[in-house]
This record gives sequence, structure tokens and C-alpha cells, in this order.
Amino acid sequence: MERLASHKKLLKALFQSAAEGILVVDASGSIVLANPRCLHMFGYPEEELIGKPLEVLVASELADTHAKFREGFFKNPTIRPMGIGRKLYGRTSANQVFPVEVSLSHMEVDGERYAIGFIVDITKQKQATDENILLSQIFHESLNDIYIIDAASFNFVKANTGALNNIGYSLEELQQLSAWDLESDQNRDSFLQRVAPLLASEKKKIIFESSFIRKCQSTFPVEIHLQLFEHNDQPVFMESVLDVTERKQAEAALRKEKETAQRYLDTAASIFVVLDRQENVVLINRKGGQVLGYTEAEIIGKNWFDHFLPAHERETVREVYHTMMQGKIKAVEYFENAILTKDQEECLIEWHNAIIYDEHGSPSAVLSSGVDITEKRKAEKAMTQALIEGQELERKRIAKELHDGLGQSLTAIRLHLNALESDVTQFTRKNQDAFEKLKVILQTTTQEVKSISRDLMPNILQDYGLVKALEFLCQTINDTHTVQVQLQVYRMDRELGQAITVGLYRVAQELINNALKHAQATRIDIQLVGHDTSVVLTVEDDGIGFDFKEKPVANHSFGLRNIETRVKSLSGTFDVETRPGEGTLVIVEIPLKPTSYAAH
Amino acid sequence: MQLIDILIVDDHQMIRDGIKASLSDEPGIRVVAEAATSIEAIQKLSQSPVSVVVMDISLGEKEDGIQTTRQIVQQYPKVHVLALSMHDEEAHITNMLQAGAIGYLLKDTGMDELVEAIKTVASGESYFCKKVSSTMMHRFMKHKKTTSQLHGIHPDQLTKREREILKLIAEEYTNPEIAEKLYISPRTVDTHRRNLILKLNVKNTAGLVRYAIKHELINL
Repeated sequence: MERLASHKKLLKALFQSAAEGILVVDASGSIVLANPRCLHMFGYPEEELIGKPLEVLVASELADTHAKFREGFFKNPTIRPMGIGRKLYGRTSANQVFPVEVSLSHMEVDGERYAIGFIVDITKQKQATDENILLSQIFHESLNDIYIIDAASFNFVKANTGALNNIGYSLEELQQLSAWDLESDQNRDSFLQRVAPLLASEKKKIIFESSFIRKCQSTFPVEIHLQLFEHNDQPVFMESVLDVTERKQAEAALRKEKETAQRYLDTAASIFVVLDRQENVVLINRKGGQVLGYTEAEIIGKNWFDHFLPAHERETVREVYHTMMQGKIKAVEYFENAILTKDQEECLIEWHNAIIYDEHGSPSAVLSSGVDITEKRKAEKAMTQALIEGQELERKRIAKELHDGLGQSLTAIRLHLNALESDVTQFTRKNQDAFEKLKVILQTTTQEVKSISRDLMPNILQDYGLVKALEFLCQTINDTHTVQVQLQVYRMDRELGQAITVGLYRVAQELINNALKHAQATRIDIQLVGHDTSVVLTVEDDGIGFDFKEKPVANHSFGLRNIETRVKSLSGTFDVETRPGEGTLVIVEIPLKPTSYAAH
Repeated sequence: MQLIDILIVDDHQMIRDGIKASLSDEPGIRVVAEAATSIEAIQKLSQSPVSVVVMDISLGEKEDGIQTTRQIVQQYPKVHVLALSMHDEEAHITNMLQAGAIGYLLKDTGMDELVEAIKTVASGESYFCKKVSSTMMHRFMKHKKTTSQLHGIHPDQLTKREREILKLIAEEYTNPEIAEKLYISPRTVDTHRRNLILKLNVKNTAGLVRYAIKHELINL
């Protein structure tokens, strides 16, 4: 009896604390008993559930089927273990449906038949299983070919459907092969070498290109992603293989197209260079490499401005480039700037630019074609110099003819007239008048010849240099004009050389003439300043000035253009500062070659 | 009155003839010899002593007249040289005088003074035609000015633009700022700055500022 009591206690405890829900139902389908786990699972207090039909705990759509099933069970009761039979869903008091697994048993007490259900909530298990199914589906349906390789034996363990279809082996055949057997030119050693970083946990994933061999011995290019996983507590490699045949073909086609384009570019006599937004060289043709003195590979990817432009032009050109890239201006179609070769020499290039736009319509690169005009410019400059030199020689010749030939003749006429002077008193009145008139005309003619000759080529310039000649020029103007001409000379005690001497004199002469003729000036200041490596000539007047922006040198008077040509032929700079009513200041700076500024 | 014997040195026959013609009615002057080149002149001088040589500066291509004058004055200290030239440039005049000529006539403006000039020079006195005198006077004036420049130039010798720029530099404006203010390019501002440093004989911008303050070009 005591033992019975203790058994009863034990049973009760078992009922109370069981991890499974325990439910007892009578033959009419009413709930008789539910343990705490069961009450908790379905969310009912005990008093509410007892006496209710069993079907309140079954998902509504299954309730009718379940009732029939229950009736069947009572007619022919059997013991049915978990997980066998149909899928079943429970329903909570809050009408929440969840997957359950139920095992059934039956008993008879006092002539009444009862069914006992043991219920387990399998929500979590079901989720896991569903996921597994999904993953397995993904594995098999994946467009990539996926192989699982045992990381110890390097044998294939598994492969998805796609892989097997593509490679042509059955899974059983594949499992006889090792990881490297599917790749051309691979063996155990090279495979080991390849996966070493994965095994050493240095990398999580390695990606490489290779070539696969099908069972039928045909090959195809692939991109392989290889990762190390745990599978059933075993390390395995997952090898995801992308058939890149099409990509390779597209790449090859593109490469071929690019090579063709490059060949065209390479045979071109012009430089072709493409710069991206970051100022780096994306493309350069052979001619570009030749001019720069580098190989294509040495140029590609380098910053164009930092590597291939002389420092003095770098920032100016860079600014133009960025203005173009920001879309602020249309392509500067024509541009001239120097580039710096490997030998640190400068080449002057004439560029034609085109902007390349991306799909959004914003500038992404600039294609420039350039022609080396260094020699052309040199030739042009030499030609200008020769022209100017020739002109000067001709002027000199004419000046000399006038001075020595015509001038001497006039002097001789004068001397002969002098000889008549003592006889003048014996002349008739008419002859005396004629004699006086002749003397006056002779005087004027002499002055004119002299002044023409001097303008053409002052002897003093040849014989005594620029400073003396300018002093004389200013003095002559001061003697004959109301304009005040001031000359200031600083540190000009040096040999300038014939070209610069004549050039600066002509420029000064022309500028003074301009001031006298057009500027209505009352004062002209001329300065000649000798710097270490250059000479600066400034001519400043207080005249009416002009609007230089409206009337720049290009379309200005012949005089200013002449001056610019001369200054350029001497590699100098020429600047005009002027505004209406504020006078005009012209600054000319001529660089001196090291040999020409040794003081003499 | 003593007869003045002269030698005419000029490479133009036409001129020599003209001089002779113009002196033909002058009883006190006798042309005893003429020469077209330097060598001929020295040779003629050794044969016929004269008191005045009328000398052209340009003999042929070169300015042999200057060298010939120097030689004559050294060898015949009693012979006086009167320069007769087309050249009115100061440098030519100076060179001829330094070589020893004591008179200078311009062929185009002074020939009617020829007789007077020969007579004056024969007596050992200097003779310059009007144009030559004024050129020499000018040179003298300018020379004085140049010397004064060595002692630091006066603000008056700065141009209007230079004074403006110096003022702005002293007021701590940078080249680009000055350029913007005066509507000119930074390059020309830099040129002005370099010119100022050289003209004012200072070393750097600080020197420019000091000059501006010293000469009260800015208000402090």
C-alpha cells in the first residue's frame, strides 16, 4: 500500500514536470487532463481547458479532419510513435498556429476509454529543417557549379546538379577524383600551394582563374572561389566555379578592339593621350612614348601633370584641365604647352582636346592629340629673327647710303654755295633771293635726310650701344617736341649683343612714336633696368590710354604687333597696362643668355 | 696776317672739292694738301707742314678720323685738328675731342662757319658750332644728374605707377592683390617690384617699405 502510494506520487510528479505536453481525451473527444507543459504550450489555464473538445487545440483548417481521425482512433486504438503520420499544427488560446508532433497511446480506466497524446512543439526543428531544405535546393539549383572537397583527402565529396551536368561526371565518378583532376595544368603540389593560405587561416577566401576539363575532355575557362568550411565536423573546401567562357570571349573581343585601336593610334604621327578624372594617364600611344622617352608601361597610371609637365607650366595647365573636367567649359580645343621628356628637355606641343563623357553625361576623361611643334616654333622664330635681321641690315644699308652718299652730296652742294657767298653782293636782287631760297631748301633737305637716316639706323647705336642711342633719341625729342621725355637707366653696364641692342632700341623707338602720335602725352618716362638675367624696358606715358581688353595686341595697330614680334623673337615678354584716360605703360622684359651678361 | 696752311682729310672727293671751292676766295687760308685716307694724311703731313688739319671722322668704312687725329696730335703737337663731321651724336663728339681735336663743325649745320672755325682753331682756341656746344652742355648737365643718383634716388625719379605700387607694397598688399587693385597682371606687378628693388638699391621688400616710410610715401 505504501509502495503504491509512493508510485502514485512518482507518476504525479512525472505528469507535472514532463518536458512533453501530456493530454488525456475521453472517447467523446473532451479533454480530461492536461499537464502544465501542455497548458503552457497552448496558453490555457487548467480550468478553462478541461471539458473542452480536443479540436480547440488543433489548427482550424485541420479541425474536421482531426475529429474524424480521433473517432477512427477510438474504433481501432494503436500506439503511434512521434514523427509518423500526417503533419499536425496546434492552436493556442491566442489563435497562434504552431507545428507539433504527437505520439498517441490509449488506456481503459473503469470501463471508459481514453486516448493519451504526447505533444512536442517542433517550431524550432521545423525552421531548421526548412532551412536545410532551402539550402540544399539553393546548392543544387545554383547557377554556379559548386563542389565540396574533403580538406584532408582532397577528394570530391559532393557537387551540385549544375556542376555534375556541366562537367559530365556522375557523383559516384566524381567522388573517385581529387580536387586538381578537374583542372588542366594542376597537380597535388600546386593545389596544396594554392589552398595553403586557407588552411593557415590567413585568408577566408581565395579567387583565381583556371581552366576546367569536362569528362569529354573539352575545356572551359573558369573563375574559382574557394573557401574552407566545417561540414559534419569535417573541414571541407567549398569550390564555387563560374564558367567565364562568355566573359573571356567578350574580354578577348574587347582586347582585340583595343589592340586595333591602339595599332591605329601607334601608327599615328601625333601623340594620343587619355587622362582620367584623377589626372592619371589611361592610354598613350607609341608616338607619345617616343616623344617623352618612356615606355608605355612607364607612363600608364602616372599622374600626367606631376610627371610630364615642366614645373613652370604645371599648375596653369592643371587648372585648365580641371575647369574642363568640371564641365565649366567646353573642351579647350586648341592648347599649347610644353611637356618634359625623360632627358628633362622641354617639347612644345600643340594639343587638340576632346572630352569623354560617362553614362551620366559628366566628363570622365580627356582625349588629347598633340603634335610636337618645338622644331616648327624654332624654325618660325629663326625665320622671324632672320627677317628682322635682314630688315635691320637693309635699313642699315639705306641709312648709310643716305648719310654717306646723299648726305655728302648735300654737304658738297652747300660748300659750293658757300664759295658763292663772297660774290652775293654782286648778284642781281632776283639772284640774291634765289640764292637765299636755295640755302633754306638745302638746309631743310639736309635735316630730312639726316632724320630719315637716323630713324633707319642710328650710327650711335652701332658704335656706342643702346644707352647712348636712347639718350640721344630722348634728347632729340626734347629738342624738337613739347613732350618731356625722361630716360632713367639702371645697371646697364653690360654687353647685350647686337640682336637685343637693336631690338630694344626699335621697341623703345616705336613706343615713343606711339606716345607722340596717338597718346596726346605731355610726359614720357623711359626706364632701362638691368637685372641679373634680364633687361626690363618700360615706357610710360600720361596720355589718353586705351581699352586694351577691347583692343588687344592681335588687332591693335601695326606698331604694337611689330613690337610683339620683335620681343618674341628675343624670347621676351610684353605687357601693356592701360585704361582710357590713365595713360599707357608698356613693359618689355628680355631674358639674357648667361654669356651676354658678363659686364664689359 | 700769317697765311694759314691747311690739310683736308675726307674720303669724299666731292667734299674736298667743295671745301676748296668754299675757301678759294679766302685770302688768309691756303689748302696745301688733301688726303682721302688715314695713311695718306700722315704721309702728306710729313711732306707739307700745315697749321690746321680739317678732319672727317668717317674715313671709308671705319671711324679712322679719330685714330688719325690722335696720331697727328701726338706726332705734330703744333698742328691743330678741326673735326668736320656728319655725326652730331654726343659720343662721337666726345671721342673726337678726347683724341685731340680742338674744334668740331657739323657738315650739315656749321659749314657757313668754316672760315671762322679754321681761323679760331689755327690760333689754338676751341671752336664748336652751335649744335655741338649745346650737345656738350647737355652732357655736362646730365653727368651731374647721374652722379647725384649714386646717393640714392629721389622719389621724383619714380614713375607714377612705381609710386602707386611702392605705396601698396608698404601697405602689405601681396602681388596678386596689387594686380587686382590696379587691374594689371601679377607678372607686371612683379616686374615693377624687381625694378624698384634695383632702382632704390635695396635688398628686398623690407628695404622698399623702409624707403617708402623714409620718404613719407605712405601715411603711418
